[in-house]
Amino acid sequence: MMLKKIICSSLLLMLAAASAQAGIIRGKAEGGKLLKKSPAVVYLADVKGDFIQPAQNPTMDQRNMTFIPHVLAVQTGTTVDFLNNDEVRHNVFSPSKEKYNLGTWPRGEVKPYTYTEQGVYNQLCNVHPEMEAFVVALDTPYFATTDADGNFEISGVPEGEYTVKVWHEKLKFIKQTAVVPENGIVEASLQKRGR
Amino acid sequence: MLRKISLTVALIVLVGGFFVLNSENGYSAKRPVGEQSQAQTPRKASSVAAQRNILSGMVTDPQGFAIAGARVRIPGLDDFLLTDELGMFQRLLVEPWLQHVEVFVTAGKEGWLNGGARSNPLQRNIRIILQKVPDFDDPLYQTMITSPISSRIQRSQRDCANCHTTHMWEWGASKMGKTVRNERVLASYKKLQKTISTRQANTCADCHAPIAAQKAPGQTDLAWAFSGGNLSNGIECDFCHKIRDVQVDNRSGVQKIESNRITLGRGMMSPILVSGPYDDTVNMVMAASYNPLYSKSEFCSACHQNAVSLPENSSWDPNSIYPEADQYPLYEDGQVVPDQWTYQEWLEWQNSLPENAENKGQQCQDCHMNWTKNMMPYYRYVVSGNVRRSMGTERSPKSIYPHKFEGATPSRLTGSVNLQVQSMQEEGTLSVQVGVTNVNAGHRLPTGEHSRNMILLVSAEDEDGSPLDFQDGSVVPAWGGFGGGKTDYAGLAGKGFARITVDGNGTINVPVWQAAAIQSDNRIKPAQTDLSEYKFKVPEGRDEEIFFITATLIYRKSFPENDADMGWEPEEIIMKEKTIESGDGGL
Repeated sequence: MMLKKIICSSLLLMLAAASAQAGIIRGKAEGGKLLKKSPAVVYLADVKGDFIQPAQNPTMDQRNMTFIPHVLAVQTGTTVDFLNNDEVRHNVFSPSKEKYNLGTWPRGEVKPYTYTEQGVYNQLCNVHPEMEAFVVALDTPYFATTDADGNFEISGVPEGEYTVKVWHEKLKFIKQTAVVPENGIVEASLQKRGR
Repeated sequence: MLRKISLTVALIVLVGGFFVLNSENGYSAKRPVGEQSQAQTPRKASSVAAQRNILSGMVTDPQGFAIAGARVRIPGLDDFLLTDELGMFQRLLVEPWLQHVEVFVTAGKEGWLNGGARSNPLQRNIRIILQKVPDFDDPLYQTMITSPISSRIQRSQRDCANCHTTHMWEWGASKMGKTVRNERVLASYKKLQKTISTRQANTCADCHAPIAAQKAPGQTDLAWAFSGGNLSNGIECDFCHKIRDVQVDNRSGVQKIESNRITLGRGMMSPILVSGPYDDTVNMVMAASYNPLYSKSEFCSACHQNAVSLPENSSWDPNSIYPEADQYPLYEDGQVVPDQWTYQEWLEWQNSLPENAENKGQQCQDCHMNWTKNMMPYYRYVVSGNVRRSMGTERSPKSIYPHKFEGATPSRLTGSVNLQVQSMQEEGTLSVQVGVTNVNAGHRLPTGEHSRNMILLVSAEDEDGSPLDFQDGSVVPAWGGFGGGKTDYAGLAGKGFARITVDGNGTINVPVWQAAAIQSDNRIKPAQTDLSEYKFKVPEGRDEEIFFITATLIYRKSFPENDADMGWEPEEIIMKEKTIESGDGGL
């Protein structure tokens, strides 16, 4: 059953290739309400190369006792600016991978952190234990975060065959193969794995 | 607050324009123009301006004796002054919005009722008189009942909820507001009554029904309190805020607190004596007294630290389980068995931290009386409605203590742990290492009742979801449940985290009141990591495949055996779940 699903999905990816634009993988991840609460990160695995860093640092804000966004995907080497926009002091630390603790600071101040190792960083505040977010650092620039309906789009992908993987804090997905033509859009339907 | 200041500023501009104008010309408001000499003018000008911007004064008792170490504050502001040995204080009014208006200044000190005095731009030197809190506790005092249900009968003008509506609803929905009417507690109590002496059983009410128990500490029947002997649903406002001191020892609740249950004056308008963390609350309704104990863990130790005494000449060796036990008096050289031990766990964590550690000094209230996402938006007054205008103090949210007392909620449990999963695959075996770290709790995980436990489950499967056979490694112990039910995990790959008691016959996991000792305690200390290892069999010829390893950490309120015995549905919360791919393929 599972194999059948994978074969169908791969066929769909290949057949849906169109020639409208160069190197775009777009599609939808199934996940229902869970994706409304917490987006998934769709990425192309094992893509080697020297990639340009984003010109502007992405921001992880803290407001009304919440990290915003809940999931932030970045390329390794990217510096994330952690901002406190709340009325109370917040801390920023992660027990994952590189393990960091940027300290505790009041409203209006920003502290940067540069992610060098690929992985999922559980983002926590030691003043407010219920606050949680995730920074997903990837060795590739080819990734996207799903919207509330599970839609995603990865653009600027060079021609080739790729493994499409998905990370989500609760759901597990079946990896897929995507063949990206020289010019065109590849449609992908990402399905959950297991129970 | 802003409206108040604006109105006052407007008033000063209209009425006091004369003074401002003359001050600029060097004339004091009290002296006619003609009395000033030209030579004096420049010096007088700066002097008056300076005086207007310097708030100074003295804090004394009614007889005029200085009170040193009193906290002097403009209500609602973060900064405060301490009076010197002569009771004196001085503060520059650097805030422009305060320089031309009347400013109310308060003072508070432990053991004294907060006081206040007004200072206007022409008279910045003030005297604040504090009254001593009567050193008396009236056992016949009728504690005010605020419980949302029972107060329908009792509600009167002297109800805390009339002004502190938000706090009342927060508290009413919290576990602290339902300690008496908790069906599980009552069922446990009835079971307890059958197995031990009434005297031991009656310590339950000391924390769960303290108003009733305060009349007879250690001798109050919780079932009586539940069935109507106590109109309260839980730990009432007027009970907690009458506490003056807590002895940190292993007795329960009301046995170790000192209260000030008194009525000041007579009639409905007599002020209600209330102790709390604010030194700037001064009004006609409450006789408030600043008490720093309310923002310290020692306050919580009243009910979150106790132990069961062993029979005379009986003891066990707590150092065999807790190597640091001989450094702490609460272990009582093994003559007691730990019951509620959260305060001691917190204390050991705090003492292990270096002086410059970020969490040094963090108290129970800093986490459990703090804001959460579901309380948004922030409120700035601890009183509601019209009272805000007449008596409210606008505060920064960081100086407000919401009264929801959140503990083991799903979001808190999730944020308190981290799972690390690593794998290595070679010669037909998938080796897995799982680390569970207590990253955000200032006590062990789990904590509280000895029945609280955590289960770690570890599994591996292929891409089709077919499980790999577990070969070797840690397994969930017998207390994880053998009944074959969906929440019985004994024998599965994984681990259990709990404090395990043992009685004199060697039977383990007995209720703490029947225990002779603690046999083991592997609950995870703050910032500590527990590591465990597992091996799964990779089917022949499939060494090149990728497998998926999942670690799941589950919080359980009670042991399965106890759930079955009591007829309770198991209560479980998934704290964290993490799935990785074997090799380097996953994130």
